[in-house]
Amino acid sequence: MFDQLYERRLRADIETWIERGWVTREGAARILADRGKADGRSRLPLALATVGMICIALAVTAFIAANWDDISRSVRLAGIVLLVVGANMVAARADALERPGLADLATAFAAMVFVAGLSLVGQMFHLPQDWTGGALLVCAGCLAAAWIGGSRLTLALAGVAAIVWVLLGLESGAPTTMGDQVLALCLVPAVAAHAVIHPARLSRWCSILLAYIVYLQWLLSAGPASMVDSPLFAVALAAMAGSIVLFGTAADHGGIRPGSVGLRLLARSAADASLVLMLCTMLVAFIGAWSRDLPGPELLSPAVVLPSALLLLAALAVLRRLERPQALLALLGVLGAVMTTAVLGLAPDQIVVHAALALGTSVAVAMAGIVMQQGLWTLSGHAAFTAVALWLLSETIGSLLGQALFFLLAGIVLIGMAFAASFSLRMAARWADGKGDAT
Amino acid sequence: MTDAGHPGAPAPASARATRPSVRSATARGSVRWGLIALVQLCLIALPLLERASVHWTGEEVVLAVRPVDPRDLLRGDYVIINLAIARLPASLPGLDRPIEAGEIVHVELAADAAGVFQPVAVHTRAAEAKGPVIAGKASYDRTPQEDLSVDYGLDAFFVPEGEGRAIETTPPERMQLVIALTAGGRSAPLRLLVDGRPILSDAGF
Repeated sequence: MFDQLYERRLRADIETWIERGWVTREGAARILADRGKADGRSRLPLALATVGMICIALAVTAFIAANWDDISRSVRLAGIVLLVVGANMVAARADALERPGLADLATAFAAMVFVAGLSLVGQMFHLPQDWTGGALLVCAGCLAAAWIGGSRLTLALAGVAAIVWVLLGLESGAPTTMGDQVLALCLVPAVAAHAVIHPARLSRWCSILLAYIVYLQWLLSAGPASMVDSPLFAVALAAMAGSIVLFGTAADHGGIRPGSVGLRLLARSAADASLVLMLCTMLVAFIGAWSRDLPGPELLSPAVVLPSALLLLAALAVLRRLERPQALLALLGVLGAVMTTAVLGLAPDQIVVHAALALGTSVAVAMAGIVMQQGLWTLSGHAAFTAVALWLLSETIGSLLGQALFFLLAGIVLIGMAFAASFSLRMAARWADGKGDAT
Repeated sequence: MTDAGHPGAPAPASARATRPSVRSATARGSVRWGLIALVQLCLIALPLLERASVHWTGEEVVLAVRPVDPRDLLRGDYVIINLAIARLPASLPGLDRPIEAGEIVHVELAADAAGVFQPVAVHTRAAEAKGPVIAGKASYDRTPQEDLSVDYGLDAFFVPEGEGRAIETTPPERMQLVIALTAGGRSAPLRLLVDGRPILSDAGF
């Protein structure tokens, strides 16, 4: 769907560029022909095949779950070996026929057969339900297949298994061992590097999510005992997300060498995800989900000091790489969000200060989006502003008449935000035009 | 049809030139995906080898059980082996200290008059026990006054589809579980007994 929207927009823009003499007719024809090769419709068979592959893998799993006792264990074990080898040989054949999409799909199917094989072995030999250990084995098998076979879909499976492994370890309540932490830390680059070398949106988002969950695991072990309920948790989360937003923005706008397209895409996705996470953390802190007591000495915990130091380094990187209005607005938005989150814990009863900081931060993020032509920044800033405004209104109004007034004001605010968004988009277009003319 | 298109005819020069590269691509692909298959099969074999080592080196121990019948989405019907020794009374020697969830404990066992093994003490290391010892993981945090809940990893006995319910309705006092127990405390289920007769058996090795 997005490909088709982009295609439509490109056709409209390219006519304008031809009229202005920026692109020749021949050049425009070549650009459109090149886009035509990557027509979104050509992905339909592969998408259907992916769903079909998942259905077949589920069929294999259900067949295994039937627990057929009529067939001896040795035959069943041989069947697992044949299925795993056969599925991988189908992938090898697809690769030899130079059908990379099919090879990717077949490798992912083979990985699912491997998971089903693990389940069957567990069933046949009455292995205990060790979901944590199972997730780690699945992760290892899928990661090996993803790297050796260059399969993006299998990498996504490995990423999901790694996330499940870390989450199950946290959920068990047992203290995280150093070995587990080191292993989790090694899994992040193993997944992310694949997403850089073989760029794919799914694997990029898997690696970003995994990185944050591993960070959560570290926070829980490095911070004080009641970290999750403390505002320290919100500050540590916002500071890390903020530093990734700034590093990602510095890398994206400051220009990583053109050869690292995958790295640039990963930096952009990480910055996008972190921006949303940072603003969500600020908003959740704002509505008071965390306790409002922030003990002084625990501010010096490594769980707070390290992400804060990283945030300062990221701020320096942004100042060095970005132009002045971009850098200042980005810093104002990001540092403002982190500071708001911290002040909510440090000075719990200062509602006017909280509201001013949160609203100011939201506006700064939206403005940074306008000058950097980052639609997500603009949208997130407006959304955060609306959420803060609505929360303030709902908190200050109680009676039926008050509720009527609240809904009236809420409607006016939303319509006002719609106008603000429209104005921002026009400003962005005008700014881009001005910059284009200047060059 | 031209000669070039006939099955018996010699291939055109361009086709002859591409054939070795297709063959080498196929060979390379076979090696790569063969390696993937090998890695995945080794990973499947890992838990199998661990279980086999318990079967081969462990001694048989009889435990009292209380089974229920749930269903595993991926692996079908199974009987939860709810061991009588899964809940240890606070008065047991070795339980006069706080224990954190996930901590490994070693429970020393001794046979009663009926030949069923009962817990007699809890140790931090298997070597501290005088008799057979079974290793388990504390399910929850506990203070010294509380009973201890332990997970021994003996929680599932898979059965053919539909048979789990019948086992669940059997009175628990008639049932026992025979396990293989190594000197280090590792364990694996061997047989589920009703009135001393095996109704489920795991003798795969």
